[in-house]
Amino acid sequence: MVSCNNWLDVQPKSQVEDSELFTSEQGFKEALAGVYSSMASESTYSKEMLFGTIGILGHEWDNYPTSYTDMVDYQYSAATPSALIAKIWSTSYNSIANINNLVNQIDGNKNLFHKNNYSIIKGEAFALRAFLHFDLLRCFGVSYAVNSNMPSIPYSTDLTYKIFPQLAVSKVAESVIKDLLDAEALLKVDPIATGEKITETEDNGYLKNRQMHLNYYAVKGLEARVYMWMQDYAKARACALEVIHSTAFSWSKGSDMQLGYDYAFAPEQLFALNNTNMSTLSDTYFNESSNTTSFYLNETSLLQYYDSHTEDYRYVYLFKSGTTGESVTNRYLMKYNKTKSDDAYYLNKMPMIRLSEMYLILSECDYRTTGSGLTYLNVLREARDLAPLDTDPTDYYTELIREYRREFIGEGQLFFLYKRLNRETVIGSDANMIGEKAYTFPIPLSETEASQRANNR
Amino acid sequence: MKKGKLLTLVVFVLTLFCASFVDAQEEKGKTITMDFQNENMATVLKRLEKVSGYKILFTYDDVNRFTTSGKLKNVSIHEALKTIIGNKPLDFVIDGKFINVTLKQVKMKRLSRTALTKVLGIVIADEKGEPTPVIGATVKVKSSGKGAVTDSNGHFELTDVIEGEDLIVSYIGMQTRTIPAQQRVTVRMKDNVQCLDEVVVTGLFNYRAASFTGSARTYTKDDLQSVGNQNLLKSLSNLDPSFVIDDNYTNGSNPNAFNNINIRGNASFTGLQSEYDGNPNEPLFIVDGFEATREQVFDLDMNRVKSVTVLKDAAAKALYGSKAANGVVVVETKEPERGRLRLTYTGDLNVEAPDLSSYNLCNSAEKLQAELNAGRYSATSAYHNEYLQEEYNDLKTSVAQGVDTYWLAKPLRSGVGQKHSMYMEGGDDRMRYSGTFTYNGITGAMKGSDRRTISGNIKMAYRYKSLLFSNSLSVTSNKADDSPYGSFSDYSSANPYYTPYDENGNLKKILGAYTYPGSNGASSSVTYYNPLYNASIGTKNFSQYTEYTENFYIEWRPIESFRMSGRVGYTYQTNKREDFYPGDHTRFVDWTGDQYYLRGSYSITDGESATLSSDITANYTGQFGKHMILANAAWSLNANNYDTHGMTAWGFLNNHVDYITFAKQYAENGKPSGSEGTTRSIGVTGAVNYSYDDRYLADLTLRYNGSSVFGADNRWGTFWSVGLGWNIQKEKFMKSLTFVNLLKLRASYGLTGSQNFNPYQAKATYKFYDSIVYDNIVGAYLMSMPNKRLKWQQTAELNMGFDMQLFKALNVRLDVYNNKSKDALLAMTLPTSTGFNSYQENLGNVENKGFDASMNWRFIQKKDFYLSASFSIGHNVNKVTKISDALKSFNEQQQENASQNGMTSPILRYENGQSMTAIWAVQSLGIDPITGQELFRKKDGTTTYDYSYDDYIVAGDSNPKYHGNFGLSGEYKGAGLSCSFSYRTGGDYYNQTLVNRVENVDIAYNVDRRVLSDSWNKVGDIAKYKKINDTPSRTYPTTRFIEKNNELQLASFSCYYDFKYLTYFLQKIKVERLKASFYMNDLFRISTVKTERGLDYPYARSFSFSLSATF
Repeated sequence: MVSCNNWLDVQPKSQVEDSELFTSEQGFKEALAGVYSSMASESTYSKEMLFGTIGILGHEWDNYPTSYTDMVDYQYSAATPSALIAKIWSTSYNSIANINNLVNQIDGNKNLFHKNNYSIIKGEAFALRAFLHFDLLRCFGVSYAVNSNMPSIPYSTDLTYKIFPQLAVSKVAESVIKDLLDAEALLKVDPIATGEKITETEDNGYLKNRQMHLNYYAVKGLEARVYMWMQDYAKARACALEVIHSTAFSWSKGSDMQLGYDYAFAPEQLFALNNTNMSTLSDTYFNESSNTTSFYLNETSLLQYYDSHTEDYRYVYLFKSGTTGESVTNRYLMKYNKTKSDDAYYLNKMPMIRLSEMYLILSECDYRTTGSGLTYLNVLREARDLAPLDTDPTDYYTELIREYRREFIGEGQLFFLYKRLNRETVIGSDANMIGEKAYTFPIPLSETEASQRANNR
Repeated sequence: MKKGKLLTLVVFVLTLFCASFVDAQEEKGKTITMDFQNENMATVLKRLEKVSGYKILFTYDDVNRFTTSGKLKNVSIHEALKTIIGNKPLDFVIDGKFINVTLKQVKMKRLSRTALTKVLGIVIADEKGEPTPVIGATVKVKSSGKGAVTDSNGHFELTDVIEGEDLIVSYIGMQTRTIPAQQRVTVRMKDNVQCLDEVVVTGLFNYRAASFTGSARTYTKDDLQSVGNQNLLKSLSNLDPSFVIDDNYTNGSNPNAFNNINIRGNASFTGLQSEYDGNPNEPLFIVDGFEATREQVFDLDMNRVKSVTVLKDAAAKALYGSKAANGVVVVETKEPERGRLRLTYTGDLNVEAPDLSSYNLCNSAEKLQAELNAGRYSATSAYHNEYLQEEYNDLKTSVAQGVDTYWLAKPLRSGVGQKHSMYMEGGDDRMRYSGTFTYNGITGAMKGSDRRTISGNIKMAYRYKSLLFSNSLSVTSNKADDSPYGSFSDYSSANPYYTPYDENGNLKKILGAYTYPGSNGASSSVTYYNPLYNASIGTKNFSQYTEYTENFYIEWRPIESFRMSGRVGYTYQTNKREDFYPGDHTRFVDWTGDQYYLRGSYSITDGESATLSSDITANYTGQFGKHMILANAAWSLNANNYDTHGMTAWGFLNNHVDYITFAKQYAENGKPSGSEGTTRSIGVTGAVNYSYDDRYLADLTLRYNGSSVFGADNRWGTFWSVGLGWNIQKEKFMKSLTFVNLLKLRASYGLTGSQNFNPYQAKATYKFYDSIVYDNIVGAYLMSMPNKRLKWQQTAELNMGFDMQLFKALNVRLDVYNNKSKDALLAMTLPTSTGFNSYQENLGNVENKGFDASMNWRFIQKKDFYLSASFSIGHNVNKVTKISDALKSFNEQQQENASQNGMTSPILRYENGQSMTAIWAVQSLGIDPITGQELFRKKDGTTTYDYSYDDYIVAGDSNPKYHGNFGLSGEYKGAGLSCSFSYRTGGDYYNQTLVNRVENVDIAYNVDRRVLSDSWNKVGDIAKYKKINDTPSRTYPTTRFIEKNNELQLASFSCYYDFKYLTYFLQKIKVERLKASFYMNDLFRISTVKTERGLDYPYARSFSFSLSATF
């Protein structure tokens, strides 16, 4: 009978059954790489969660494809926005389902792993689950500044057709923190934290490019981001401090930007997604030859962005002008351009969490406790070749927002800052964000049609 | 259903009435009164024959030396014979209507083994009421091989034979008999047909027909050939009312297109993406005990077929367990028969003549008028008007000059095909062999569409003591060419005022153009390409396969009542598909600029598949007094895998190169494609058939099987059936009703399953990203939400029926059934927070109930003349009894698609309590004579001009209420005739032609004549159709286009002449048997629906001449 059952267990060739995939360490690596790859899709972290939907909602662009005309007005129920939002939801949860199956399988196969790979892969999986759920929470859960007890999203921890309950905003955040703390504990052995040197020959250089993975410091940085969301500024501060005190990250050099080696702040990346299609992406979305699909600024508004500080590295090196016809006054972001260096350290990396955010978090925490946020803000300013400020700005939060706008253009963080601060308006739009409930996406129909979900707005 | 029952009852009562009349006549002959004094024995026996109505067989020499005297008054036949024979050394045996009178002493001498100088014998067939001599039967002495052939009286003569030696008598279509040699021999032969009737072949076990309680219907090769010679499936659908081939108005008579087949209705949901490979309702085909594909059965040479059995109810098919729910078709090929080497050749010449009677298109003058009416040549601005007028005048001139191209005929031909089949068999008791070679070239009605099959088969059987080995090896090679002329619809839409050739007789690429000058210089134009052009540039569209089948069989029969056998079958197939369109093809005209050099495409798909099947069976037959038990057990295993891969290449600018390596590059963003799958199953089956005194019958079947298709938690399933039967004619109270040969009541109930599903759907499987890597690792992702609980779709089947035979001439069968399928496999919608939007679940119930009945009456049965009529009727009602949320959202999705794409044909929709074949449409109140607009009735009863999908009602059902066949066949002195009609009634049809060609017409292309005659034109017109404008309007599904679909078709007509009575002629040309036949298929059709049939490929009438000779 047992042998009959084995015989009936057919292994597909064009696809691999999970029981087959997870019989080797390589299989786990492939499943994990699969999750990262799934995030690098345009419906999430290759477009919509960065400069697409989220960038549009943060009014980062002067010009954008016409398909975003409803989105820019926060018309979430219109056809195109609701499709894009549904896609963010389903793609993220699909990645989560993939993580969950990996997590389900890993404990029984601990003996397959080389050195610390078990801990590291499992740690990354937990961290990824937290990362994705946290961004879903930032999209579909109301801000803590509104009501942390509002129902938001389900927190999924298993691959099953059974439905996970919709949790309150604070409960989701707690689950995110729980996964992050588990991840942190597992990632204590991460070479980026231990300082261990990894050579190309060892394990095919598997742990060499830690910035492309949710490494130990990326987890810490994410914790800082989440604690800020949860208004736990002390914890956020502690996490951010740990990151900046490590020697793993340094400021990008103006000279590297000038040479075209470093457009995406590679040395500052706590976590970046490896996207091998990045050059196609910049050709399509940040290019004068494809104006109808491109996102870009015009000359004057770019100057306003940077307060006419034309010495700012970001102003000087991260934008290019159009060359012909009406395009000459257009300014195209180069953050996602193919670098002129073939060094893998700079190539095909899309920033997810960067060092500058840690400084801004520290600045904000300082401001909230001491009334002055100058110390860490000035570190960032100097790194960008700007003169340090002598006195605190009259309106600290407006300045903070403007700094986020300059720093994270095209990275999708600005909108979430507005939301965290629950600002009534955003720069570039006269919409009443609070009145229109514009900070929170409605849960997509594909979810509510098949299960009972409470109103999340 | 009520009607059907009533009908059968009437037939039954009528027959009983007739029966008693005939019976009374027979009674008279039972008592004998006659006088004879010293009369010659032969004369007396002959007189007795006349008086009694019995047939008395004797050899003249044996009885002539005796005389006899006596007086008989009202005595029985037995007493009469006793008196006549008296003390003479004669014996007699009464056997039914036959009496055999032989010499006594012959029998006693049997052991003495003296050499007989001469053996005189007669071979007779005694099946059809009157004994008829068998002409041309082979008689062979087993030991020496010496033989003789019977003459026109059935007599034969052998010399120098040892008495008691075995004589083997054989004749095609009859059971071979072995008898001991005597001076005088009478051999009674029985038809093989009868032999088949006695056994029900299920592919795994054979049942005794007399004690079997299942519903199974067996057809012989002759049955199949009498209703057509095209292919086995077509013939079967002309015979069995429950075997239905869907009419496909799109593919017409395309020899390379297969239509869906179902037995007793559909139980699985179709139209839901990715759930099934192929048709989930397709029956299981078994050829010689092993699973086969529909294509294999389609290409099987009918001359090789011995019988086809359709297993319909649970009792008959439960032994196929999880694969049986859709019904089972069991094909048995011929086994070689003993005898001298015999060669049979059958040659067919087929003509496929296109049937365009369903088309009613405008000619050039009418078309131009229709365009004018539609306002194609008028504009508001005077300047534009003039421009259009010019275009019109040009065309008008052409029309006046007599240009009227009948485009429909252009791609068509009368396809002449040939089929040659050679069959060879022979052997002795120990070793038998046969060989077949067949070439079948089907030539379609569209130019260039062909299907050619070449196949060969060698069978060997060897018997050693209690062991029997047999082996069969077949090789089939097939090539199917699609017409280079493309879709037939291109020709039905071409405008008749264009000519395909220019003045020099060269083929045009562009026929003409129409330009509508718009405002601000913007104009729109239509360019008409010549569909014939594409056929002239060397396109290639074909598929081919080569298949090897090897079956090995071993049987061990230590004692008569016990048998064990083992079988292994292996089938390997390679297949290929190629499609080549050179750069000149009109499909590439828009490829300009950079794309110009990419014109032309070539795609190749290669595949292979292999099936391994094996089973071991044991059978036991035991008789204990009046109890009889037939016990069967089997263990079987089946593994199948397929693998296909292909690619597409672009850039073939030169029409002269047609090899894929001349491509410039792969298709843009193209990559190799492919698919692969493996399914395995194991089963254990037990079946017991019990009968008491052959009167009370019972069947029990149990099947336990596992399949790789289903989830790990539900891999094994148990299927079973119980059947009960009662042979009423064997009861004592029926003894006096001797005309009732068979009256059997049957009932069965059981559970079967179906598994025509994607093999990997239950598993958590990963695929790899193909175009991206992450940190130098190729990532893997989950394909779908796994469901380890996925299980078989199950059908509970209840069947009740009766079989009746009266006067050995009238056969009636009726089956009433109710099949309830549950756990139909469906995609269940999931909230996307689970990571996926659906997963496979067992949901949805479907019910099919109905009846099928058939009747066959041989109302004339004489020595050389018979005539019989047959009638069959089928009725099936399909109802969805439970649907899932997934189906609701499927409906919504269908509706959404329909409204987004402006679908003009009814959409597929499943609802509780409705048939799966229901036609959904909005209720129409007709065309408002005032406005010319269509008026609809909303769901709430109010009327509106606004069409809304929400107002859908069930407007009809495409499934006919009743369908079936009837026919007549007969033979007189070797000349035979057979015709078979098929009919369907009570179904509905959504007349898409009226929608597409009359109302939603694009006036730019040719249209139906009714556009001119029946459309609304002005206020007050009471018209059937809306006004036609120059821009195509859209008419969405409404009840206005639903028509009753009643249809009568002469499916097949055949006549033949069998030279069996011309023995002298046959002997002279040294032929044992010769038969010439003529067939006509799909000759005519009467229907209440007037619609274009054969949209992509026309229908064809086929005629064929066939000659069969045995040497």
